[in-house]
Amino acid sequence: MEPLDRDAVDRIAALARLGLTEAEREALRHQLADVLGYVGQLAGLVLDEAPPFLGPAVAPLRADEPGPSLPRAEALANAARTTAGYFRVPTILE
Amino acid sequence: MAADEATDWGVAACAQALRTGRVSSRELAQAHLARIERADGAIGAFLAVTGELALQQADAADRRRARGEDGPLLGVPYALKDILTTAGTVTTAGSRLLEAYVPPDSSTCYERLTAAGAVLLGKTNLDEFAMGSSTENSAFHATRNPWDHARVPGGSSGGSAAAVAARMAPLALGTDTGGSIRQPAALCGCVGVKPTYGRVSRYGLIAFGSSLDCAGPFARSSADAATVLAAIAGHDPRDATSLDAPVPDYAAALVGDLDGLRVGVVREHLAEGLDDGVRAALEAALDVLVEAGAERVPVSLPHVGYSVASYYLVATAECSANLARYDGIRYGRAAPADTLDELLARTRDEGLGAEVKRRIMLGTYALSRGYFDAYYKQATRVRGRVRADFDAALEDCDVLVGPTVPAPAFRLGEKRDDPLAMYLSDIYTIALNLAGLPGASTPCGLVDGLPVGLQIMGRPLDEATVLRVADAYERRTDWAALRPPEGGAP
Repeated sequence: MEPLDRDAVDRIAALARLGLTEAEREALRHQLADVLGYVGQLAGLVLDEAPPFLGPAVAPLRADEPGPSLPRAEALANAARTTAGYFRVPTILE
Repeated sequence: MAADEATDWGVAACAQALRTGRVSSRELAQAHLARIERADGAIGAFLAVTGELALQQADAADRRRARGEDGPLLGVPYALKDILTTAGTVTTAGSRLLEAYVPPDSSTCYERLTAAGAVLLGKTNLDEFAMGSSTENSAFHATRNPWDHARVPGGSSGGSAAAVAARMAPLALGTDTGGSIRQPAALCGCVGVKPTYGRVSRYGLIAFGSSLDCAGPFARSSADAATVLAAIAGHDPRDATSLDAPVPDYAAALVGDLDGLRVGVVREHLAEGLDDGVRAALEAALDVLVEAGAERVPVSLPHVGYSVASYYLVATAECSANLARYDGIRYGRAAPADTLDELLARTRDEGLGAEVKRRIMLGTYALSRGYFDAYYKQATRVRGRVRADFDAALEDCDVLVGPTVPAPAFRLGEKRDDPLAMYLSDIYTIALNLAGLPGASTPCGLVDGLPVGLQIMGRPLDEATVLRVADAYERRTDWAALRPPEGGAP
C-alpha cells in the first residue's frame, strides 16, 4: 500500500487529539500504510451472513440504587489543576 | 535458611514452609527482596519495589498465622504488573503520562490477593498501556530475558514473566489482551494462564481493549497457577463484564492423567513458517500427552489466519476509545496550554509513546467515516468466525494444543522498527483473545538454549481442563523447573 498522504495522517491525528512531530508524521505515513495494507486483506472476505461479534461480554444492568462514590478530595487528588473543588480546564467559550 | 533456597520455592512450597514454621512471612519477603536487589539490576523486571509495604503485609500475614489462620497464599510473596491499580502506590501502566499517578482505590485482583494474605514485592514492567510483545515499549526501561540478557522477555507482561523466571517472585500477575501473559511465559520459560474473558474482574485493570483484556497468573507450575487463579477468579459487581459463575476447585482437577481426553491439534498451526526447533518440541510434547492417556485429534480453525488482522482493527479501535480519557484534566501528566486543543494535543504527544500513538491512530482510522464498514465492522465479523471455529473444534475435543510462540525470544531492538513483524509474533496467541476463551502456556523445550512454550486452549470457563493438561505434562517433564543461567548468557 502507498504511504498515506500528510493530510490523511493529520486528519486522523486531529480526530484522536494527538499532537505529532514532523518526524512522527512522516514515520506514521509509512507504518500505518503497512499495517492497513495487511489488515485490509479482510475487506476481500465475503462474510455477509456472519454477524458482527463484539466479544463474549455480557453486561447486565444493576438495580438503580445509590451507593458510596469516590470522595471529592480523592477524585481531585491526581489532577494537575483544580480550583475550589473543581477540575480546572482552559477556557472553552470566549 | 539459605536465601537462595527460599527463592527457589514455588507457591505451594512457600505455603508449606510457612505452615511448618520453617520460615516466617517476613523472612520469606526479605529473601525475595534480597534476590531482587541482587538480580534485578541486570534484568529490570521491576518498575517499583514496594519493600516497606511488603514487610508490613508480611508481618500482618505472620500475625494472622499466629492467630491460627492458614491459606494457600497467606504470607506468599508476589509481583503485580503495573497496569493493575494499587491504592496509595504509584501505578504507571508503563507510561510517562501516568508516571506520578496514585490510584485512589485498588484493583479487585490486588484486593483479593491482599485478603488472601499474599505479600506484594513490587510492580512489574510492561509495554506501555499493555501495547506490545517485547516490553520494549515501556516508557521507563526495557526488561531483559533472564535466559539471555540481550533478548526480550516478551510482552506486554515481560516484567512479571522475568520476575518469576528469575526467581525474584514465585508468582506474579499479568494481563493478556493479545497474548501478553502466554507469550512472555513461553519466552521466559514459566507457566502463564489467560483465563476465560470475564472469569477474573477487570476492575482496576487499566483498560486497553475492554472486550479483550484479562488478568491472570504467572508461576513456575500449573498447580501454583491454579492456586492463584482460585483466589482472584469470581464475580465482581464492580465489573459489569465479570461472569457470575461459580469458581471450581481447580486443584482437585489436577488428577495427573489425561485418560479419556481428546486433544485437538490445529492444522493451521503446523503449517509453514513454524521454526523447526519449535515444531520438534511441540511433537515431543504431543507424545507426552498421548503417553498420559490423551487421544490426539486433528482439527481445523479455518479463519485463524485472519486473527492478527482482525485483532489489530478491533483492539486498536477499542484502545482509541479507552485512551481518549487521557486529557491532562482529571489525572496524569498535563502539558502547559492556553487552549483545550493545545492541552489535549500536547499532553498526549508528550505523555504517550510511539506504539501507543500508532495504535490510537489505527483505531481512529478503522472507526472513521468511510472506513468503518470495511475495516472495523468487517473485523468484528471475522472475530465471530474465529469464535465459531473454536466452538466447532471444541465439540470434537476437550482442549486444543499448539505452539505458544513461533520462535524463541528475539534480540532487543530486532523488531522495534517493524511494527508489523512485532504484531506477527502473536500469531498463535491472538485468536484466543478474540474468542474470549481460556488458555495456558507451559514450557516445553529449549530451542538454541532458549525456552519455548506449549499452548493449551479450552472451552469457556474450563480452566480446570486446561490446567489439568498442563499439570499432567509438567509431571512428566522437567522444562518448567529449569533455571535460567545466572548471569543471563546462554
